[in-house]
Amino acid sequence: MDIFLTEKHKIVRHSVQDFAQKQIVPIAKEIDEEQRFPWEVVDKMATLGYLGIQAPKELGGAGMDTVSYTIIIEEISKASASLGLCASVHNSVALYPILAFGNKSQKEKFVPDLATGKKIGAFCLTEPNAGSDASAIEATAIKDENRDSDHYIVNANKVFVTNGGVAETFLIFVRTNPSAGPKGISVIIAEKGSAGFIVGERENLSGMRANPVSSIRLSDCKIHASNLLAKEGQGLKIGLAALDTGRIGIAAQAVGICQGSLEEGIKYAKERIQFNVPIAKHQSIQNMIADMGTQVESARLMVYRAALLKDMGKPFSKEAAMAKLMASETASRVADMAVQIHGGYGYSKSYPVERYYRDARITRIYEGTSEVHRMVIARSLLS
Amino acid sequence: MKLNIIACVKSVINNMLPGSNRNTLENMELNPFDKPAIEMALSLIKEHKGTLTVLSMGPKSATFGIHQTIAMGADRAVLICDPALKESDTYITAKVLGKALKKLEPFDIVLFGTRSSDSDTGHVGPQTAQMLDIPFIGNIHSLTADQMKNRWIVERKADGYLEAFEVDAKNSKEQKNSSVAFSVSSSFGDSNTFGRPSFISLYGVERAFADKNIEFWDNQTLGLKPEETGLIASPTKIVAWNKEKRSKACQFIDGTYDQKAEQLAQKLSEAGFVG
Repeated sequence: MDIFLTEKHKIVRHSVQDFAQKQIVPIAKEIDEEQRFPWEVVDKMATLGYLGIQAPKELGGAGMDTVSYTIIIEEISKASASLGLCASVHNSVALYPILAFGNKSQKEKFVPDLATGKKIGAFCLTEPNAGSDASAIEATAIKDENRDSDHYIVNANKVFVTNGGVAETFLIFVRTNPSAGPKGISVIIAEKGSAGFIVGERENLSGMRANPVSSIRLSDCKIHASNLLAKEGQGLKIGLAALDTGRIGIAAQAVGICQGSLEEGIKYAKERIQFNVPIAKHQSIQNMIADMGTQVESARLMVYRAALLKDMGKPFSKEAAMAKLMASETASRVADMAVQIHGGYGYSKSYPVERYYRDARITRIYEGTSEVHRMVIARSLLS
Repeated sequence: MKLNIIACVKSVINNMLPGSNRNTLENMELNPFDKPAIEMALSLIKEHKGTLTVLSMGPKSATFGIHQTIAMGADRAVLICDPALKESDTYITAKVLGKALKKLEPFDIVLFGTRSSDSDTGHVGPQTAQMLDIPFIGNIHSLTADQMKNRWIVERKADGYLEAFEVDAKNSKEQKNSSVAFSVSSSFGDSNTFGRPSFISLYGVERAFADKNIEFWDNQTLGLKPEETGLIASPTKIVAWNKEKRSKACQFIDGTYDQKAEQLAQKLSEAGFVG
């Protein structure tokens, strides 16, 4: 597995494992049960650079590569997928688009606070009537009174916003030209605290419960035109680029859930005695462990390949989509097998596999469903 | 008062595959007992300013542990790496480290871990101090400077007592500076403002690989002949090295719940686990 990882990557993994084991694992169960966002740990993650993994050093980031990013998200997610989600979304779909598409003053204004974790970022695309079909969004940002105005009046109703309850910097997908169809979509950077910016109810989700996934509403919210990311009409392009990168993060998160499920499955199989032997001696359990291990490695290899391609500056969109599809579907299967190995105990909150099982399920849905990913992959293969 | 501190550390094997004693980048890390020495050095530098140099002897794969120390905050790192050093015992290790320390003069303090997690001798710190003819105090958890007198005040715990010492930095005949050596207890930092547990940041990892390079020294750098080091020169030689066979035995305690609890507490106390 580690054949193409450098010594630096290995030290990154070792360091994150050390942190996750000592700081996240002990609270993972509690923050899930109590739906608590653990600021005390997130602040430490910020100090260690986990919220500015790939941002340049001069803007407060750690300046690392995508493979390191993948390793970090994987290891945090293994301890708590909710916190892995926080870091993945913050780094890849909130911070990255500003780095990739922002102008100099936008980068200087927003990136340092995000990269050092002083502020958490969020990405607001999904609406009640626009999920997989992102071009169906209804949110609008209309120039005040005349086209030369230097303000937009933004009205938006966004749902399922990861980090929504704690974020302060939001990328909002809006229509700046409602009659232009997909070409009328743009991205506006909104800040919490603006008049008309409302953080809605926290979602009561099945998994990822430590992340304050919330709805966000902007009601006649006046936002300065300098907060427009890139140009009007470039929203879908920004969204697709962000999601390409985001997919690698979610795929890495799924691999973390897989690895956690595998390790818990092995541990329990060695401890649990039935028919006078540890159940790991039974062939049916061995078959499950063998399948789990093989599938986890396959998923991980695909995710690392996508990350490597990105670091090499090569096209990685198809590979990232394949990795996300593979890793998320694998996470569901592997977590399911881990529950099966645990039997009745796996269905109780006494063991972490119950949480992995719930957390794994959403990875097949968010940042592009498995069905949308198949569509993307098929389009690429058939073109 | 700027301090030049040298921390002598070791990379140890953390996960040995069955039937193998190979050290690779996959299975080496900084000796956990050396971490408090690095942390104490960094907290002293935070207070007094100065530099931390990490010195180590080991194979090429030992760079893993050395990079960890640079990521933690070390300013310079030297790895003494030579095939002729293979299987050196603690005496030869101390001799080699002593030579290297002479080359790194001037310095104020040399810090060691109390022992290594793989060979567990605790020899190297005191032996190296002996090679340099400087004072050594082991297992300290507190170190403060009495700057007026060029003196150090140290505390250590031993046998249920808290001991405090004053120690003068010693200027031996051949030395360019006065210095003193300590090994640092794993309990360092428990009550320290530096705050444990400390974690390696991504910024630190970047620093370790961006502009800090490990300097590689060999026997030639230190003026040592191959026959003066390694297994040939070592007074102690490992003749057998087998995995210990551990047997588990279950003991049952009889009586009422109160009696059982009493007996259990007593057994744990006798075994040194509590009390």
